[in-house]
Parts: sequence; structure tokens; C-alpha cells
Amino acid sequence: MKETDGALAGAALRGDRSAFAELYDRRARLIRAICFNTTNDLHSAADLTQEVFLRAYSKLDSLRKPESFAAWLTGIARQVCREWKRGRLRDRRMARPLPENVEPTAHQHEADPRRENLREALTKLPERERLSLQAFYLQGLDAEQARAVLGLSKSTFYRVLAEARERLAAIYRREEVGS
Amino acid sequence: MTCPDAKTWNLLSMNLLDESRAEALRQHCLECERCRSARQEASRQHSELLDSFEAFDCNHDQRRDQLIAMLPEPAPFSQRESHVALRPEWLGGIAMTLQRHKTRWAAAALLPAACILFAFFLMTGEKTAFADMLEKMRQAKTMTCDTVTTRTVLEGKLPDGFPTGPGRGRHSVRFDGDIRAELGEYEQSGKKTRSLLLGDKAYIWEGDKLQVISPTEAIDHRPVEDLLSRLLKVRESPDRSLGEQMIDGHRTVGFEIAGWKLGFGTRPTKGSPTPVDSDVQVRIWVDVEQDLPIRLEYDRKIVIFESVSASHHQWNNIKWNVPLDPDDFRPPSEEEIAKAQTIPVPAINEAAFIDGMRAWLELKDKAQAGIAMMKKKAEERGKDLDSSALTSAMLERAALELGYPEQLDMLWLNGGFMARATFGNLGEVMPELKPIPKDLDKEERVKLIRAQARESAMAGVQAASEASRKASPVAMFYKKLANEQREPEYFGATVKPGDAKAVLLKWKLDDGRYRVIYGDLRAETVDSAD
Repeated sequence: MKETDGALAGAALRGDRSAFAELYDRRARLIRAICFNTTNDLHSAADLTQEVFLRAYSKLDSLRKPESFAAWLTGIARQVCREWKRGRLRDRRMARPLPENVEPTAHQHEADPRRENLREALTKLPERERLSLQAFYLQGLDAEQARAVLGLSKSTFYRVLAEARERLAAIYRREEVGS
Repeated sequence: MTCPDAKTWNLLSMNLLDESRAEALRQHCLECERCRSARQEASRQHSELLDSFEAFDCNHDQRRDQLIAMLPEPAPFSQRESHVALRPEWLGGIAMTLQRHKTRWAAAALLPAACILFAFFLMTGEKTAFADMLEKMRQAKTMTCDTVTTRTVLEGKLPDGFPTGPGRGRHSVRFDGDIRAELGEYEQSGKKTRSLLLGDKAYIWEGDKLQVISPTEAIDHRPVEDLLSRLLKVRESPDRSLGEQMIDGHRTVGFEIAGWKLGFGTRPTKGSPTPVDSDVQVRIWVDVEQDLPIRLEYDRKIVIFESVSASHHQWNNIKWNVPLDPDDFRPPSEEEIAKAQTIPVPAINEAAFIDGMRAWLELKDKAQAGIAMMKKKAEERGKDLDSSALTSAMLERAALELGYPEQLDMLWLNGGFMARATFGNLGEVMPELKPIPKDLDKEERVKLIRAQARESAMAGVQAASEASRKASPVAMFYKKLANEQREPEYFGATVKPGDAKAVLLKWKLDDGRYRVIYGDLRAETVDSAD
């Protein structure tokens, strides 16, 4: 059975690094997307994500509700993004670069205009709507986990998510017409 | 079946509808060309989103392995206090066991263990006790305390007529959700002041003379409520444990927390001189029986023109959840208010919000001009502008990299408005300053600089005070909408000034429609469907 975030956070607190790795696997994509909202650059977003997880690890014992790990982590990500925006973290090396023999993923090679347009359109959404889409699409299409990140009730989350899709389509259409 | 809206197709594409509803929709599509196309469009967008979000994989596995390799060893939390604190009730459980079994040997065996557990509790319990204290404070309905402020002049001389004697006060605070009320009665050097703060109104009586002022200007008159509300927002552990102490017959544990976390000054910057107020430490003494503070104290250094004083502030005899007389919190009569000296209280409405936002943007331009001037002056002296901690702290507060404020917290906004205004004022004042002759000795130079600063200080204070008056309607309007449950949503962190399409603030109206303020500060009422 899949362990809950709370159980994994508890195990990580007891020194189990693989539990923290599992938490990373579950949440890093969402955190990268949140950081991307600020950096508008995938590489910097990935670096900021490492910083977010390093901070989360060092503060893990202050997490009062382990089941709310994702929401707590999102809060740390916002803080890190704010610091980045103010230039504090911009010049600091946050993570070692990837080893040279690691090939960048296919996505880093290609510049698909449709994808880029969609990501651009996403940045124009109100924060709550953007986060709802990111939380849903980057956490295995699991509405329950996604709504926990935003702290919304099920019905409100569905409404926000559907509105986000609708607004995104409108922005996208407008930009297609514009281009 | 009537044709569903786009939201429904979106939910269907994300597989978020229950199966019976989904099946009904699929059937409907077989008959309706328009809905078939809407469904296809929603599915297409769903696939594109899935595809687009793949970009965030970013060499996930390698980055995970790299992160795990970077985690500190041993883990930082393994060196800190235990997360789980032992509670005294557990010792009670052990005592009951002893009584039940009446076994002396068991007692003999368990007593040392109990002593060890108790010692362990003393060592590890503080962190939890602090969190418990905050939790209890959040639940409190009322609070009263006696305040004492004493001042010692450390350097120079205070201006004539400046009150120097100890100040004594009595404060009562009522917590009604977000709306707080504070009643204060304060006496210093024979001068009596009474203050009553109710939501967005502040009434100050000096003797019989009543003044009506805005809450921002009333900050000096609300020392208790203001500090309390900042304390309640603290999410971290205290910085230092002060151990146990008996106070007024109560066993207490003490905590120390850095003042910058509570709004005093700013976080000290490593290697730079300490800016004003950043070395304040607040000490809180908590009654272990009720998990609530009974004493709070802090010291500040205050620079008034050419003098430096140290003031010691103490709240004693703090009592929680005591009954308060509602009559004490009744605002003055309309007749009294009509006679009062009224400092214009900004209206808390949409127009004032927009006006405040406009001022925020205008102040940015002025501040940037002031900073350019300061940079030039600093360069002339071969220095960097942000070499002083005070300047860098002010720059941080001014948040000039932002378009609209990223948050609507009163303290944050007030700091931002004032910092922007201060930089703007410096830009206006600096060109008029006379050059300081280089042949003067250091003492003479300092005297001359201070004299010039004094001359321009009043204009600076005036500018900052006017700016801060613009901050309160911005913060209070949002708070008012939230209190009225109008579901306000603010997007200042992402909206660019001048963007006529982006929603800056929206809230619900009584008729179900929405009022929207856009990035270009235009407001309109829209249907929810818009």
C-alpha cells in the first residue's frame, strides 16, 4: 500500500533518507512548476526546487501536521521564490550542476511553440487557478492530493480547477488570434 | 438533456465526474454536434496540459539522487530538541500505577525513572510549551495587563519638555475574530492619555481632549494589541529558553524571541552595523499551569535628535479571559466626535483602495529617483549604496522590484509605503544639502550632519506619515471584504501595473455578480460567468 506523506515524513525524521527521496519523487515536479512561475526558466526553477527541499529537510521537525507536507512544502517554495525575486538567492549557487555525462531531457532540447504558449498562458492565470492546475496535473491527476495543497474543499477545488481550464482556454485562444 | 457548459466538459476530460454523469454526457455527445466539439476541445486541452507539464521532469532522477547526496549528515533535526515533549500528565500516570500496586519496590524502581523523565521534560518541553502558549493565546477572548515603561538617557540630552519619567498604563484587549479592540490608560510625567481602538477607528483622549485618528497613526497608542497580533503570527520556535522563574507566585518558563520577528526593526545583516531596533529581544514568561504568558518585557534604544536613550518595557500581571465591561469599549458619542479634533481618517472603500494603489506606484518612481541620487552621493564617497544594513533593510522594505504590493498585510504595506516615501524625500532633500567642509574634524562634521538631518527630518517624517496614511485603506479594504465574506481575491504578486486585462482584486457583490479592479486600476462589475 502506498504510504502517506505523513508516514514518509515521520520515517525521514527517523533518519530514513529513502523516505525523503520518495517525498521528493511525489512533490518535486509541482515545486518546480511553482518555482517556474517566478523564474520563467526551467533550469533556475530546478535549482530553486533543490533549495526548497534542502530547507524542508532541515526544518522537517517543525512540520506540525505531517499529513500537510505538500501544503507546507508549497509554503517554503513561495518563500524561496520571494527571496529569489528580491535577488537574494539569484547569485547564490543553490545546487551543484548536474554531472556532465547527464544528458538534458528531451524537453530541454526542443522548443515546442505550443507547449511554450501554454506555459506562457498559465503564467497569466490568477495564482490560485494556476496552482490548482499545477497541483492536479503534476501530482498524478489526483484531485484529493491537489486540493490538500490548496487547502480547499472538494467542491471549491473542482470549481476553481474548471474555471482555470476555461480561463486558460480563453487566454490561449486570444493569444492564438493575436499571433 | 440541456447542453452543459464548458466547465462540465473540462471536469469530464479530467475524469472528475462520477461515472453515471459521465456516461450521460457521453450519450449526449452522440446526439449533439456542438457538445461533441466542446468535449473534443476539452480533451485536447487536457492532453496538451499533460504534455506541457512533462517539461517539469527536468532530469528528475538525477536531481533526486543529487539532492539526497547533499542532505546534511547527521540530519539537522537529530541534533535539536526532541519534537515530542513529555508532558507532566505522564508522571501523574506513573504515580497512579504506584498507588494501585502499592509496591514499595516498584516505587523505588520507578522513582529514579520518573526523575529522569521529569528532567527530560524540563529540557524538551519548552518548544511544545511555546506552541501551546500561542495556541491558547489564539483562543483567548480577552486580556488585561499593567504596563511600565522606564527610560534612561545613555548619550546626549533629550529635547526640553520630552517626558522622561516612568510611564504606567493599564491595557485591556478584546479579541472578536479579526476585529480587535484595545483600551489603554496611560500616565507619564503627570500627563494622562486614554486610547480606544475599535477596528478601523482610533480615539485618543489627552485629558479631556478627544482626537480621532486612523489606526496606522495610532500605532504608538496600541502597544499591546499590536505586539500581541504579531506574536500570534510567529510560526517558529523561540530563539532561546530562559529557564524557570517564579513570578508573582506562579511557576513560569521563559522564552526569548528576536524582536525583528515581531516587527521591531529588521533582520540583522551579517557583517553590517545593527540597524535601529534590530537588536531588540522580547522575553516572555509563561505560567506553566495555564500555558499563557503572565509577563512580557523588552528593551529598545531610541535615538531622538542628538540623544540616545534606552527604554525598558514591561507588561506585568497579564490576565487572560477575564470579563471586561462592554461599556468601556463603547465609542464616544456623535456629539463628542463632532467636537473632537479629527485627523482625517481615510475612507475604507474601493476608491480609497485604488487611490492607495496609485500612490504606491507613484512612490516607486519618486523612490527610484531618490535612490539614484543616493547612489551618486555614495559613489562620490567611494561607497556602495547598500553597504549599510539600514539602507539595505529599507531597500528591502521598499520592495521596488514589485509592481503592486505582493501582500496586503498592514505592517508590510506600512513599511513599504514609508520606505518608498523616505527614499523619495531623500531625493528631494539631498540636492539642497550644503556640502560638509572636508577640513573639519570628525566631531564637527558629525554635528553639522546632524544639524542638517534635523532640518530635513520634519519633511521626511511628514512624507512618511502621509504615505503611511495611504497604506491603511489598502489593507483595511481587503480585510473589510473578507470580514463581510465577499470572497475577495488579490493577485498583486502577479499582475503588472497597467495591465487592463489582468484582475488585481475581485470580490462578490450582494447580487452574486463580481466587482473587479484590473491591473490598470479600472473597476467594473461583471457577471460571474465573465
